[in-house]
Amino acid sequence: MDGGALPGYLPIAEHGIIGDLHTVALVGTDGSIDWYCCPAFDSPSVFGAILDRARGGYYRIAPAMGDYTTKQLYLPDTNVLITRFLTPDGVGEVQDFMPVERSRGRMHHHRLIRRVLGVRGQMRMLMNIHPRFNYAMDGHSTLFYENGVVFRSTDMSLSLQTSLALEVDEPGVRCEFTLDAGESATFVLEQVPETYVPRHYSEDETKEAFENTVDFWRGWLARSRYHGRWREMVHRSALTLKLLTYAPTGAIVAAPTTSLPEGIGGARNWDYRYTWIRDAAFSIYALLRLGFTDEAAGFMEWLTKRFQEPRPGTSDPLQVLYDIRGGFDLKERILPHLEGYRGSAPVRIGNGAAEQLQLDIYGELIDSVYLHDKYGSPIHYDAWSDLCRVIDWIVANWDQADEGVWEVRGGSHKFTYSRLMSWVAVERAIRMAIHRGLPADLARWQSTRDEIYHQIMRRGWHPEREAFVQHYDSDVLDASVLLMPLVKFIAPADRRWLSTLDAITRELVSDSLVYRYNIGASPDGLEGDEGTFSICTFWYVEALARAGRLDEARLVFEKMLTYANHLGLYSEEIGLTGEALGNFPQAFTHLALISAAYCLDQQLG
Amino acid sequence: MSSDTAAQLGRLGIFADLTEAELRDVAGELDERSFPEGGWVMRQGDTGTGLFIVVDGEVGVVVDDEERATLATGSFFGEVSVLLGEPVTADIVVRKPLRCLVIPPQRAEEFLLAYPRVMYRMFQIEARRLRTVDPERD
Repeated sequence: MDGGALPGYLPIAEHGIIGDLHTVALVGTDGSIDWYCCPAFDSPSVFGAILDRARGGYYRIAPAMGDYTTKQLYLPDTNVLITRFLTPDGVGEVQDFMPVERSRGRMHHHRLIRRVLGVRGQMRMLMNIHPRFNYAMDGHSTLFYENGVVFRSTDMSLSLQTSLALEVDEPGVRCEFTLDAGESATFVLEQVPETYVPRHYSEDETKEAFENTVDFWRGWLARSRYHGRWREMVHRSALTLKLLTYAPTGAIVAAPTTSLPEGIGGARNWDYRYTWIRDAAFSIYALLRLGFTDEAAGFMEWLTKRFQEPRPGTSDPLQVLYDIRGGFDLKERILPHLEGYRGSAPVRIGNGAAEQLQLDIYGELIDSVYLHDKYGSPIHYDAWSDLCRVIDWIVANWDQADEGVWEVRGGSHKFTYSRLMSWVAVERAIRMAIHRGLPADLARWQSTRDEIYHQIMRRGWHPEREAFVQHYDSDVLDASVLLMPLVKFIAPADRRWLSTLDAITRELVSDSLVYRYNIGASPDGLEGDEGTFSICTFWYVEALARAGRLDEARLVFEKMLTYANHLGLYSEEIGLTGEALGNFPQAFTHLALISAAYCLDQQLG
Repeated sequence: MSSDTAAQLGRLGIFADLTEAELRDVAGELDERSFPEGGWVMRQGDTGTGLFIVVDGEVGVVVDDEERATLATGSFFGEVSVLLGEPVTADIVVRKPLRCLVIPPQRAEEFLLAYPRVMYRMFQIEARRLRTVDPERD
């Protein structure tokens, strides 16, 4: 392998992530940072080679030449990533981390530190950094100073600081160096003012930053109360969720990437760097289950603000998704100058699903409020008053057609799942009102709850298929109904439920992996195929476990663990040959893993 | 000097604020010199050497047989001797083939006053050097 040239696209799963609770970087097993948005998750990319190998920009540290093998791991119980390079002549490793700055008010540096160590023998290394600001739309100038360079672009400047001499390598810089065992070199990339002069980072300073970062993650994880089976995987999921949290607001992004395709070469490419209301209930549940009450409270605070604030120009109390600061404007657009991962165009930024009607989000929101009220801290009066306003809206609007949980773009339907979650919304509000003695129009709420229930049993149930179906005018199955027993809508051993579970097993489950629905039978307005949905597989595990089919549940879960990447990370989907597809890593999947592991562990006793 | 040279100067931090026309002027006004790897640019005790700005290459700063620092593209040296009119206090040895611009001592004041933004940048870099020697200094 020629160290200077950037080879082809790595598989999506061949990446780890590091982050500072504002943004993350994806680090390939080849030592290349292929995705990095600065200063926040939803900022334009600086390194975007994962979406266009030639134009996207990258930051690579790897052996200068020759054949080598690589290994990647996290320093145990941390988000400090180690990429190792092995050759007959030597072993070297790159420690990648982003210090978590906790100072409020001061300028955040977003330092990305790459510490290269000689481990055995001798190794010639090459560093190439090619920033491409604003999704590779803005140029930049490179200014050389004695402790590094400043890349100065229209809206941002980044400095790469090192004690090694840097050379011009348009449009970036390069540096070739040799490390013997025990030697090290450090590169510090940080956001700076445009007049900044790069500074010298001493070895002591780098070591201190490293140790503080390790201490931060280990200290955080030590608060976990999970001691069940599959602890390593559950904790990796927790560490990943924390990395996907935007510290200033407590919001959790669905994934830190955009447009990683659901099918290679396909058009199902979406921007996930936003916060879905849908993920809320699952996040709160998972965080509370593991004992991370501060994070649950932080996310709850973010959520509460969403249903308390009026939305301009609409009577719908909530938007499907928001930006990490709670903003409404997520206008979707295409970046035609980027070819997309392995030619999977278009590359989209923003997300048009924000403008859809998805009635299920109210159920997920109110379930999360219910969970936090029960296991976190009791709801305040003002929040309850606002919540009553939301319930009143649901009572009046639950029976509309909508775009549903999967955000289909093929028209509105009366989705069973949307009604299921409307039932959850009203049912949980009734529980809170009764449990806390809060004021509510209980008679009206109970009447609506029962009306929804009866309608689902009457019209969501397909007598010939003996299963609950995707929407009322269809006989198509949909994995979203796997949540029915999980949200306590139906008894897990109810005859109707068990026959639905059998039907899903026959039609949507392939070698333990679960498709969300049959695209051929239910056109969703989009071209191309997709893989199995990891979250559905974890829901399937829970549904099996709750139905008492523990051996099956355990095998499906164990098989699913084998689809994680070498670090324990999951993307949204899994392809036919086990490859990761879609945005990566995906919070929803890791949330479902935590929930399934917890449930299965409890059931196994 | 060619416009390529002016473009190369534009990459150097100390010339970051100059216009393209000013960069061409600077490229025309100053002498460019090259040194082979392993040679000396100046020795401890030399006088009248000038202020050197590294365009390309790498030098080591050696004091009493100890290499104290490595300077590469964007760095400069010899400024203390020029500003104070005193002999050079370090040996400068070429580690990688060196191309640099040279401001002779007798033209340094005129040059810096003609390009105050360059002077400001040099102050910044000097301040950074002082901070590195003593992180507590403000």
